Amino acid sequence: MFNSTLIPLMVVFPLIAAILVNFLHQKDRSVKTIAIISSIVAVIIPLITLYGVHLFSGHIRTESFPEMSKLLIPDVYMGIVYSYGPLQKILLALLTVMTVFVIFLSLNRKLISGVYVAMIFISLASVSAIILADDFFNFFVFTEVLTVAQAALVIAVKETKSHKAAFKYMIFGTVSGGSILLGIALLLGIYGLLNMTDLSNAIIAGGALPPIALTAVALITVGWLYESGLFPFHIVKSNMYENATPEAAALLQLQSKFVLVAMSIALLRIFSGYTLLKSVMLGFAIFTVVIGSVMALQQTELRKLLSFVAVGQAGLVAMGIGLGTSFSISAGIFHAINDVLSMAILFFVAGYILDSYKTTKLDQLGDGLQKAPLIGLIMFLATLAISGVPPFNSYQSEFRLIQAAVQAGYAELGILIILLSIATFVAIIKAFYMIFMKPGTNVKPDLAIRGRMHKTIIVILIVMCLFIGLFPHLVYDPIYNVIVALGV
Amino acid sequence: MEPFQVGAFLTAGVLVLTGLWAIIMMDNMLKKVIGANLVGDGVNLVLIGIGYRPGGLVPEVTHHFHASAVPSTFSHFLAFNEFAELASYPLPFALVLTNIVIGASTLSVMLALSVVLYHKYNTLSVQKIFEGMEED
Repeated sequence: MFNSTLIPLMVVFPLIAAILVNFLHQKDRSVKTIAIISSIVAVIIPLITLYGVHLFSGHIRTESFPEMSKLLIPDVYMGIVYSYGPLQKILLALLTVMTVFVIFLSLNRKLISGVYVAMIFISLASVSAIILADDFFNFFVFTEVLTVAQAALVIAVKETKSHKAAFKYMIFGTVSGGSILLGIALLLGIYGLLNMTDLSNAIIAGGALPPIALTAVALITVGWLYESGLFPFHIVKSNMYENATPEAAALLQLQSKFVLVAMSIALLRIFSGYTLLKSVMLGFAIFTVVIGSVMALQQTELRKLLSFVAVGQAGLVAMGIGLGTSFSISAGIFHAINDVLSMAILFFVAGYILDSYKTTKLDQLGDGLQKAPLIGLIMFLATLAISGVPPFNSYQSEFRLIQAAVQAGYAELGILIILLSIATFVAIIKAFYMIFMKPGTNVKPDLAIRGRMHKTIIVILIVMCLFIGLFPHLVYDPIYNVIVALGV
Repeated sequence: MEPFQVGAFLTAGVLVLTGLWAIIMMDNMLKKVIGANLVGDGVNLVLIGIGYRPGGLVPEVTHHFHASAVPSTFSHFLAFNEFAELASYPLPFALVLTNIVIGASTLSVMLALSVVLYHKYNTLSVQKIFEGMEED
């Protein structure tokens, strides 16, 4: 009963916190207190929850009366199901910790808007539900809620270009949401089910996928591309990262990558026998990697550069999943976890630079190493981390991805991963040189603007990168075991 | 397939295609928003078509059966098997209801953004609003 009660709390609690802080909008002290307490509780819940399954309304598997219902399997889940295992625990622990950091930084920036903090909590609840849900109905609802919450986080910047980015994101979001729902509707029409486990069993029982089911796969894949920010939606997503506050961008890129992981696993579980899906995933992932890294190399504005790096790295995660072996999928998920940490550090550094210099245009910056040596050192370490240099975490995942590509018979993809690492390193080290080493600057920095909180969070994150790099099995092994057990 | 379902699916196809055409081809921001909404409406109609059953009972409206009924007390209720044979499938309608709520919220956000951008640029032309995006 203990675990059964706590599993839905991971979604319900942030929603309650969101409602509270929304009502207390403009009462800064109350918003701050509730936001801090709620975010700490949100971190604790996944840590103390036992692994298990939560059946909403308590319905266990029920006889399906195949002679009347025409369902292909003898028993089905009658309610919404949330599953909580080691993979979900790792993802949710990291998600909640990063959300806490972003909330703390938002409060530290005196951006104490109840609505803004509410949107952070709603996005936390949405991603938690997407990670936990074993049900397409819940999955669809929370992807839509996430789209609105993410757009609201960007709108909060109150600049025209952020409004434009949010508008584009919403238009594409409506179409992709419609695409996912139409796919779900077609599957519902054929199999009469929405539970992913049941759907997977019914598809296996039904044999080869009929043309309508193939259309459903295509439609849901379009939604997957949008939610994950993969090609051809990479521009929309990178626009969102670029126009959000750097702290919000750190959270948005994390949410997108975790949704990518959750949605990929769902697709692979349900359509496990359909090999073309993996090839399609791999194809779009390769496009995203190439375009993301090329675009990153061309940028002269730090936030834009980091946005394209984040998109390229999402392609790398999708590449691991698209290769389709247990080893590659685990390596892809492991890379998602490592990458969100490194990207978050870089976005937080961008936030520091934006606040200090009031710009992130690289040609206007310079002389940073004398003025902020700690931030310079951390950015250099984060650049090494995201480029896959040992002993940092991304080295462990990228090495596994290369191994997986070679094992799967795609040695050329291994070379592509190495090229991506080099391109990422060149793009960010160029920015590092322009900000910290280039002599002369056009703007006068205000280095007193940030408190200790910002530096502390960045240092914690770089220590986490180093820790996972030195002890990768603590994170990788549970992921691998789950993927093998799922049989995707 | 029932004639209503054929009609519903055809109409849904027209709605989705019209919506996509508006989003891709039309320059007016409000027409794009309406197009996005039409796509959602088309999908809702597909779901309604899937859930339709001629003369079917509507489980959401009232309970028509009682699983553990004592026949004398619940004589006006149908037996479970009979109910299951006659009932419409409720899941598509639950999805439609949810999508209507979500659609309303996304529509309001998109309209609010349209108002803000209109006040800034004094036009609804997407081409004019977005042409200077890089320079903003």
